[in-house]
Amino acid sequence: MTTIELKIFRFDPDRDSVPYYQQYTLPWTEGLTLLMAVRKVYETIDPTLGFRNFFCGRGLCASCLMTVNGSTKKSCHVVLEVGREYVVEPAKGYPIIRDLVVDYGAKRTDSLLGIEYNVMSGTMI
Amino acid sequence: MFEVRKTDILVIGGGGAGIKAAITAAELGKEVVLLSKGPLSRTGITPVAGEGIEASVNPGDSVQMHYQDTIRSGRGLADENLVMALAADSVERIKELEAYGAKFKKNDDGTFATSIRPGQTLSRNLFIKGGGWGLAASLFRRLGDFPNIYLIDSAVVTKFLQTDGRVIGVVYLNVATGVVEVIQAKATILASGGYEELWPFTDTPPDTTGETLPMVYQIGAQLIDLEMVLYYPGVVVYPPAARGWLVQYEYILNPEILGGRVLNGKGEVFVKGFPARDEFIRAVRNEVKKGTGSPNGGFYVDLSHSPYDREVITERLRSWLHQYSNLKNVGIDIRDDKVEMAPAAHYCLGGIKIDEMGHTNVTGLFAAGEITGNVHGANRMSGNALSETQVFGRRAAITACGYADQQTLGACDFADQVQREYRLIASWKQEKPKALRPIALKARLQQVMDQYVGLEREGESLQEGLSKVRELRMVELPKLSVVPHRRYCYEVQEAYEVRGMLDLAELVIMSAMSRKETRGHHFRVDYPHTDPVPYHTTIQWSKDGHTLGVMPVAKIDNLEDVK
Repeated sequence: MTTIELKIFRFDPDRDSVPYYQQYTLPWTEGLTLLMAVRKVYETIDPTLGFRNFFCGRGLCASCLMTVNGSTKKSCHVVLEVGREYVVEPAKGYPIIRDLVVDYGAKRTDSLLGIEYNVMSGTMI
Repeated sequence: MFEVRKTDILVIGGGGAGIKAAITAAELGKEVVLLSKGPLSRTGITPVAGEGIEASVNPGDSVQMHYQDTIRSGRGLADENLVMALAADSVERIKELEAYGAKFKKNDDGTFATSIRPGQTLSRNLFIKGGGWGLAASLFRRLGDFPNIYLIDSAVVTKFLQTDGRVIGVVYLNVATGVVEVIQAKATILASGGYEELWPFTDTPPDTTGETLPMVYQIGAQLIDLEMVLYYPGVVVYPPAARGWLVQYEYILNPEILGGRVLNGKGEVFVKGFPARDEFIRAVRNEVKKGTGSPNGGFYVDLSHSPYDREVITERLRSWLHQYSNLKNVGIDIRDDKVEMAPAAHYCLGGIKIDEMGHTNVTGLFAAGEITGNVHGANRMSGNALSETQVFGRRAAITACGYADQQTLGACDFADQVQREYRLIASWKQEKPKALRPIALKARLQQVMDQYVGLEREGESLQEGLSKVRELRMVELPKLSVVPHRRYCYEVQEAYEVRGMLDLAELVIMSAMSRKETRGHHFRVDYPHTDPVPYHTTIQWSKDGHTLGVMPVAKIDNLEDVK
């Protein structure tokens, strides 16, 4: 067997009343990372999959945080093993925008000036 | 219904230059809106930059020497007033970064640890811990101190708004919500970075699509030296898990750090000494042409013949090469594994023409950072890109604030502009018989750019490339089709990006055709000579259409007079 299985969390608050999981089968290649696999799903199987394509791809920026089999990791550093199934969910601790996309900036309201602004809420893990 | 947010200063771009501009304007007491395509410190080009930032801090070094080295590395094409600004301000900007919390590698006596890079007469590259990410994160922390900065971190700018020839803000799509909104500003600073994504192999993130350049071009901005794209020689092509990662050859080849070497496909040493980027690229190109390149058109990095012991190498890799542990995380050990590297699009030298205070030729529009075009010339010295973000981000902001003081926010009706964007998005969401995804169109454009406007250029093939790009725009662009989601519809963002990339590709090719010489990163097979007097290529939209021209390189008479 030269494939991997991804079971990906799907949720569009505009369309879905509850989240669900969708199964994708991908060909496995040497050195395939989780981020590359999710991109591959978007590119070749399902354009509706929401994920953040802003990434350095090398473990610096942490824009690609995803929860894989229960723990939140930088997906560009998760090298996938042939034949295995991975459950892929959004990064824990952030509000979900859609599917795997989370809001990294938490809005804060300045009571004195009555305006909202974003601050860095996440830290590197 | 849509929101019009009014502000003093609008900053477009969430990288080093944009955040610095926002901080500076906020310090001057202005209301600021900062638009970024993605979350700050996790997006843009700054976070993926190496750790080098250039400033003359070492004893014996000087602003003049930094200036001279930069001018020489620019192969005669860097505007002298801009380089002087860069060299003069960078020391002060480093101190500010430290105050924001950026950590620099230091010697035991507390002075800055530096490393030497090709083109430097004296070791001048400071080392930011955490690399570009460390820099971006410290700027982002400082940003949080200002309640007068409002950040929108999922914004794709779709149009620049003008009244009486002045820029008064932008229309943008908030990708997270799918809502089109308007920012009305007294002054607008563009700091949206480069356009490396026009090519298939880059070490930059996928949002470096440059679509704001054709937008400002359409309102009359003068663009300069667009053909000058800096290739970085050492970017991993194999193994695939690390494809697109930059590994600093400056450390690998430095005899005092790692003492490594680079080998061609036959295992022969083909680079001697410590070449600058354009020289290294030329050497790789020669190997590939002779048929002695590596399988993926590059070369191998080899540490096995280093004069240093394994323990020393390991310690130095840990201390200098942040990519060492990243590579290990995906199963590659650069000490033992044959890592294959090739040149990748790394930095756009060309862009909007600015003066030393960040003015563009369009009233109300200021610019800073990689999107500007006349700072570095035909080749950029390592470390000057991050300095540039800080120096010109601040300068553009000061200028923009002065301009904003003279402006008022008039009453305008933007409903038509907003409706136009919704209609465009709706047209992309319509079902079509021969639907084409934005991602597929991007790939086709990248193939054309790689084949016809790559490392080597030649008149006829540039002409052919231009026809192919025009064909993509006229025949394929109308087929563009995206999924119907409203919330975080990345395909809509990609549709805007590819529309801009097609426009920009034409401008880049026309600029490459008009530079009939070889200089720095622009190699013309049919014009291998270098003209004796350097000149900028310019392109500007006028009533006669695309207008190409040339412009002399800016000179300063007396170095001592200029600050």
